[in-house]
Amino acid sequence: MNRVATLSLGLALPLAVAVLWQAAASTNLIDVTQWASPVLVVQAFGTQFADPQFWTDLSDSLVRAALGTTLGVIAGIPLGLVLGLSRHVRALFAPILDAAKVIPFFTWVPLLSVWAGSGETGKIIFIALAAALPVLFSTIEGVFSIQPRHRELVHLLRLRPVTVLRRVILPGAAPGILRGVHLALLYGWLATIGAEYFFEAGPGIGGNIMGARELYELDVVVADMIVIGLIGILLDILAHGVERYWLRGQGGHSA
Amino acid sequence: MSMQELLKLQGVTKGFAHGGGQVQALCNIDLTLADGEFLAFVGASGCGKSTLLRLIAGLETPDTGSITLGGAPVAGPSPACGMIFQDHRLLPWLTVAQNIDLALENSWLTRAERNRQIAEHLELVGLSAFAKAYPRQLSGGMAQRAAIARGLITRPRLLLLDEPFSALDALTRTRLQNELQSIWAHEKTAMVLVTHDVEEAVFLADRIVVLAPHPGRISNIVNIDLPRPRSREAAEFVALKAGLLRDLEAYAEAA
Repeated sequence: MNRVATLSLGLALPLAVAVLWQAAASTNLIDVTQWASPVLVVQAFGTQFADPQFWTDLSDSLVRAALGTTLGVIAGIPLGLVLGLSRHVRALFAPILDAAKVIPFFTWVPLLSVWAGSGETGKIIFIALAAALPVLFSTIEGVFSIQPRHRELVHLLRLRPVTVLRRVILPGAAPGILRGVHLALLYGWLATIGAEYFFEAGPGIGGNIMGARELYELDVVVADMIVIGLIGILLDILAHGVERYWLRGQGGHSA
Repeated sequence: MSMQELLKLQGVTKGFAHGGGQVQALCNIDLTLADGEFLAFVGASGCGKSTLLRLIAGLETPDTGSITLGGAPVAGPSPACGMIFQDHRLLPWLTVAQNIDLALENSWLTRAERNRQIAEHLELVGLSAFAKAYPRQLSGGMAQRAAIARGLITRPRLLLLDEPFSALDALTRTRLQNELQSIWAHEKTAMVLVTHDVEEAVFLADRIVVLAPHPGRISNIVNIDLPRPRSREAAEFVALKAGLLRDLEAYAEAA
C-alpha cells in the first residue's frame, strides 16, 4: 500500500464516525447538549480561536509542558547514565526503579500536591517526573546497547573518562537517549493536561476544558481535545525529526 | 637473532570457568620475541591463540607465569603495544581521522602535531582521501587499514594482530598481506600475528609458532628464512606451507 492509500484508509473511519454523528444530531436522534455534533465542534473552533483567553490557556500549557519536560530530561539523562554505567548504583536502585515502572505516574498527584503544593510548582514537578522516567529508562537501555567490543576499545586505548563519555558513551547511548526524549515530549504533554485536571485550577488548556464542562459546552470540550491531540501529534513528528537528524549517517550503529 | 629481546613469556598458563568446570586454554607457554621480529601463531580452533594475544595485550591476566614487554611486566593495556582485531572496531559515529585520533588521547601532543601524525599514518595505509569518511562508507579492507593506522599511530614497539584479514575476501586479503609486509619493513615494529591461514603466516612471519589444542601449548616453532618480499609460488614457500598444513591437520584429526 502506498502512502496516500494508507492515509486515506486511516482517515476513512474518523470521517465515517463524523458523518454518522452529524446525521444522528441533525435527525434529533441524539441530544446535542449531551453529545454535541461535528458542526457544533467546528463552530466551537471558530469561537475558541477568536477568544484571546483560549490562546493564553494554550500558551500557558505549552510553557508549562516545555518547562517540566526540560527539567525532566535534564535530570533523567545523567541519572540514566550513572545507573547504566554502574552495576552497584543499579543494584541499589533496582527495586525502586522496578516499582516506578509499574506505579502509574498519576498516583504521584496526592503526594506531590502535599509536598510541592497544588500550584504551579507542583504541576511542574509532576510534569518533570513524568518526563524524567522514560528518559531514565531509555538512557539505561542506551548505555546497555553500547557494544562490549567498543567498551574493550576504551580499555585498550586507555581513554580518559571525559573522552569516554564524549566519544563513546554519549554517542553509543544516543539512540536510547533520543528515544527517551521522544517519549518525554509525549509524556510531558500528557502530564501537563493531567496536572491541569488534578492540581489547583488555573489557566491552561486543561483548565479550559474543565471550565467548558462546567458550562456544559461539550462542543468546546471536544474542540479542545482535538487541539490537545494535534499538539501531541506535532510533538511526535518533531521528536521523530530530531532523532533522525541526530542519528543521520550512523546506519543504526550496525557498522 | 642478534636483536634485543622485546617480549618474554615464561610459564604462562590461563584457564577459564566453563560449564561449572575449568577449561585449560593455555598451558605453560614459554616464548621470547626480538625487537622488530614478526611472529605468527597458527593453530586449530581451541588452541588458545587469541587468548595468548589478549594476555600479551594486557586485556587479560595469566593465572600463572609472567609476561614482560620491554623488560616491564604487562599489567594492562599500554601504549607500547597496539592491537588489531578481526573486526575493525572503529567507532561508527566518528570519522576515520577522529577514530585514529582517539589512540593519541594520552600522547599530550599539540593538536597540529596530532593532525600531522594522523595524515602521515593515513598515507601509510593509503587512506589519505578518506580522513573524513565514516566507517560505514568504507569497504572491509579499507576499514581494516584504518584500524592498522590507529594501531600504529602511537608508535608501539609491538603490534598484535588477531586474525586481522580473515573476514576479508581473498583478493583484498592478499593485497593487505602485501601492504602489511611493507609497513612492517618500513616501520620496524615487532608484530605478532594470530591466524588460521598458513599461507598468510609463511608470507609474513620470521618465525611460526604452531600451537596444539586442548590445552593450548606450543607444538613446534618453524623459522622462515625466505628473503622478502616472498613469492607465494616459490617451491620453498609451497613446501613450508604444505609441511605446516600437515602439522595442523594432525591436530584437527585428533580433536
